[in-house]
Amino acid sequence: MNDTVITCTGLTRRFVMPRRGGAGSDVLALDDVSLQVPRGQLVALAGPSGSGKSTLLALIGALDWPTAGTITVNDFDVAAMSRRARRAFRRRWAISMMPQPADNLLLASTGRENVLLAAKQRRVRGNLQEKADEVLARMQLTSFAHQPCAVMSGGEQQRIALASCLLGAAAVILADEPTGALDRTGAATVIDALAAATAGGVTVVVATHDPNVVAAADTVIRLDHGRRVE
Amino acid sequence: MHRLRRSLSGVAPVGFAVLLAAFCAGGTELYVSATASAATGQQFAEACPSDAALLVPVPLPIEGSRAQVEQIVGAIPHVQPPRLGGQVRVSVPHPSGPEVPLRLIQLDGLTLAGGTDPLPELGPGEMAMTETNAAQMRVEVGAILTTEVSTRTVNTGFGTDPVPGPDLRLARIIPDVPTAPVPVAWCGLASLVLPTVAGDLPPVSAVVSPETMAMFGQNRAEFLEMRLVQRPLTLTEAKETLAGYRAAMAAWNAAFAGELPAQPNGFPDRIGELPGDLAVGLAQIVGRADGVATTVQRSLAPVRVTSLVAVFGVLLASAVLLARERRRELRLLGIRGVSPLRVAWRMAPEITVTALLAAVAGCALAWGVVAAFAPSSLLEPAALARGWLLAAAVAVVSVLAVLAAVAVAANHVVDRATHRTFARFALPFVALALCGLALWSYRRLDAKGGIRTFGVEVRGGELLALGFPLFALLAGTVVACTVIGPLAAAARHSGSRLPRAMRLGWRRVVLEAGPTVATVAAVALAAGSFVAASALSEGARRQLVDKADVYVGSDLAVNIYDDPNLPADVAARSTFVLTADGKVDGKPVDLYGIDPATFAGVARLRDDASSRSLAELVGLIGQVGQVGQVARGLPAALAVGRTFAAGDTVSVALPGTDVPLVVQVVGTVPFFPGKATNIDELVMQYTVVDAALPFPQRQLLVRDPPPGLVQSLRDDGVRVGVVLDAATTFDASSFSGLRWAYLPLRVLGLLFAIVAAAVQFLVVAARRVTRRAAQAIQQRTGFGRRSLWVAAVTEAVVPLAVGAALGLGVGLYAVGVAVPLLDPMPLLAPRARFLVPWPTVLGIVLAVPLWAAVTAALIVRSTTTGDPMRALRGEQ
Repeated sequence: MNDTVITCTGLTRRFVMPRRGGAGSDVLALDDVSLQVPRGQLVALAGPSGSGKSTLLALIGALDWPTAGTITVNDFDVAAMSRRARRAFRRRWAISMMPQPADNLLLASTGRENVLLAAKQRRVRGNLQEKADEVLARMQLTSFAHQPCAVMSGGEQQRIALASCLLGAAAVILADEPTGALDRTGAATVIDALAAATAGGVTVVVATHDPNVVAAADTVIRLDHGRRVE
Repeated sequence: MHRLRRSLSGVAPVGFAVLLAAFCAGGTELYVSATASAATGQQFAEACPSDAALLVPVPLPIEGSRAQVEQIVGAIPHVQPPRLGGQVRVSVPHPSGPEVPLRLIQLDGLTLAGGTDPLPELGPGEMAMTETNAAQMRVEVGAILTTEVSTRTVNTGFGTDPVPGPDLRLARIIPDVPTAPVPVAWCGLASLVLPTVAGDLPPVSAVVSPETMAMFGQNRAEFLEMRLVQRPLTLTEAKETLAGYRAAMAAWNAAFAGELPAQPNGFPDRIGELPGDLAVGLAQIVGRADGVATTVQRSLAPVRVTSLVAVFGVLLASAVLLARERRRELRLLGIRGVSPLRVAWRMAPEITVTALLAAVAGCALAWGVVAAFAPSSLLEPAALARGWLLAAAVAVVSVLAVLAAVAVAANHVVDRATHRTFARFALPFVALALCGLALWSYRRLDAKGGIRTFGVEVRGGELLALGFPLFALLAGTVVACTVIGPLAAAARHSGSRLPRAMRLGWRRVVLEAGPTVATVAAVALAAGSFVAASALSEGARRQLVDKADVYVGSDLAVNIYDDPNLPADVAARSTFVLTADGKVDGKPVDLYGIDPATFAGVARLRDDASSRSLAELVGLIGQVGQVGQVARGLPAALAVGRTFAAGDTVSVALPGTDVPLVVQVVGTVPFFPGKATNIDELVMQYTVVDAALPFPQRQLLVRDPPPGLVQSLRDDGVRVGVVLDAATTFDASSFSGLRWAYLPLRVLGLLFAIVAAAVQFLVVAARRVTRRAAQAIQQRTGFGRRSLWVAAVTEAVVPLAVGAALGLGVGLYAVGVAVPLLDPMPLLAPRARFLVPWPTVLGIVLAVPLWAAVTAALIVRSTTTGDPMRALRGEQ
């Protein structure tokens, strides 16, 4: 195992839209994108809306198949995997996804329950209750721990989601607009938490429009119309 | 609260679907049981309790035989305590000279006249006679009759050795036992009460006490009568009693057969049947009730299959809605790599609990509905157990189906590469398969027919043939839906000139073809099955009336042997006809002589029998007051059947005379009032038949007969033979079963209507989030509540109207094809005819706008309730 956790080569993703959309319906979301992400880095994917940031995250997270190109995560060829293998890969190799906007929360459950559920599904060992309280405290969420997520604000939900990723002992965190719904203080908390995670050896790839996240990133990859421009 | 709302919003539709499925599965089972009980009750009500009883002789020559017999009959279930009876035939002197036979009878529980008062106490050596019997014997109270008993032994065969019996004193003269009807307590002794077939008085009899009967020693016959309990019995209980009878007979034969020295004197004939096969009335009652239950069961099979298939569709739609409601959870778990089976397993507890509760509620609802609306509320325990078992099975299958659907949804929720092409390509294949099924079922129906009734016997009635109307409706609906889907998609740009609100409603209809097609299909099935149910049940009732009219000739037909003196109003609605058998070229024909002056006013003839009216047909065979003759001087006849043609000269060989009757056929009809067989018939003037035949059978036909007419004829001394009443002629057959079998079809129509409503509700529920988000924006652009209503009504009414029209068209066509083939008695004219049930059609047409208004109200309410900001965030 080398220090490069994620390697993408010539990555292309073309979406075939239904016929009733009319002529020219094919959408080229990613066009020949290559990148390498070293272990323990915070990498920011920046670019305008529709530039392919979320698509790239989905491909790295084994949620989608590329039209062309290869993706290697932790030495696994993700693009060549079957659906079952992808599921096992997502579960066992500790990739945490934070889709936008906080789609990875059970709204009827409390914040603490969400965090614990993620830990159980990743089979985290040890005293989960203590670990959950610790990570919630670190994210300044102790007062919301026992409230259903449905009554939380968007920022609070986003921080609960991040707490779930952190307690899930992820080796790679893929976050889509993690500060999109947060105020400045909340965003700073999330950025600090992500930075702290990278210090612990976790690799973080963030799709963002937030200049503060871009500023905090070790590496910035800019996309435009599906192509890597920087 | 959030958890509860989350749970209910997802699983409530699933619970509703399971409830419907359990209702269908359990309800059909319970309904069959209820009709079986009703048929059993109907048969018991028409029978004398003694006919359904078992009469067990006590072989007096064998020591201790009565105790043995009591032990044998003690094992028979559902019977009253045994009634001890005895009988002896004696000779007594008569004032006119020769001795006359007298039957002495004793039976526990005999009453006075028709009431419940017991007979007066009689001492040893005393007897009681009815007024008529006393008058016949010319005796008064206090008269002493010296008896002689004739014995018949094995050694003497038919010989008699008269021995003197005890002298008996006439202690009481009791009122005559009523004859119409014979009281329940006396109906087993009807032969001693009713006049003979020839009109003679019944044999003279007298009632004695058990002590008096015992004076005749072994020359008397003694028996135990086992009557059924008085509470209503289920068919299963009646069968258990029948089995008990058979077991008792076997035990009786094992105990006494071969040991009896002689057939006891004066023994009722029925007892002679004991050692042979059981021919008591109970077997006939059970056979008839069984026939009705079989008819209902066979007719219900396709209903059950179709309803379960439809409800299963709702269940899958509910499962899809559940997956949609929980898509956030499914997506979250999918992203984390949780397997679809584990995702489904997480939902198993709440789905299982919901399904079990719904199944219990569905079966309980079915129980209540059957108890309230079925022909009988008496249900068999075994049927109840089967009903609950089926409901439990439905719950298990439903849980598995929903979990499978959730697992499939979880497998695809994070997979962007999956295309939903299955439904698009599968639907035409499903349509083709259903068309094949409908065609196959039509061929079976054409070849085998539906349920055929031969008296009480039921034949035919396979699932494939009987299911044709429903299969055709399903096939027609699915074929239409395969066309409607692409048509709706092609019309996505239409409606541009419509007002804004109406255009929005129209676009919602055509842009999301899937929900539109589902709604159209459900409404079409509802309307189609409801109209089919009405057409079939109304058709069955109409068939009964038409066939009874033709079979009887009018409302009442009475064979009479004397001239009656009818009241003027009854005479105005009456006519006389003559019936006789003849032969033409060796083949049998029926002759029917009518009175042209009165026949057309009394009889009825269905309008499809001839292009002429009944009066015109009668006019063909002669004018009023004239003997109908054609140009060559031959009597005119109307031919019923296919053998003869107009213009034929027919020579009919008649019984009792060597002179043939030569008639000329002046017209033909396929059926005619009074035609009761499949043999060709010649209808001619009354006077022609009367002059040609020495012994024709005379029949009185009466339209709208007053109650008690036949009894008043008897009271007037008119000898009356066979009586046919159009209202009850076919009641003994399985027509009750046919009527009851078509009743649940209406429930099926109602069920499909519920299914259609459920589909619409699911569509409304599934679209509510996007509607709220859209409305949050639209209301700022002047799209007010009125516009919302217009859009909602447009969206609701289009699929409803299309579905109703489709269902009515396909349903009526399918039933129109099926009705003539479903005729349960095709050999008995007239053949079944399809009639459009206009009230039902009108009701469905009127229900569409009402239903659309309710749906629109649901749409408006589900759109306007909720927080606009949360709706925009997609959380509500």
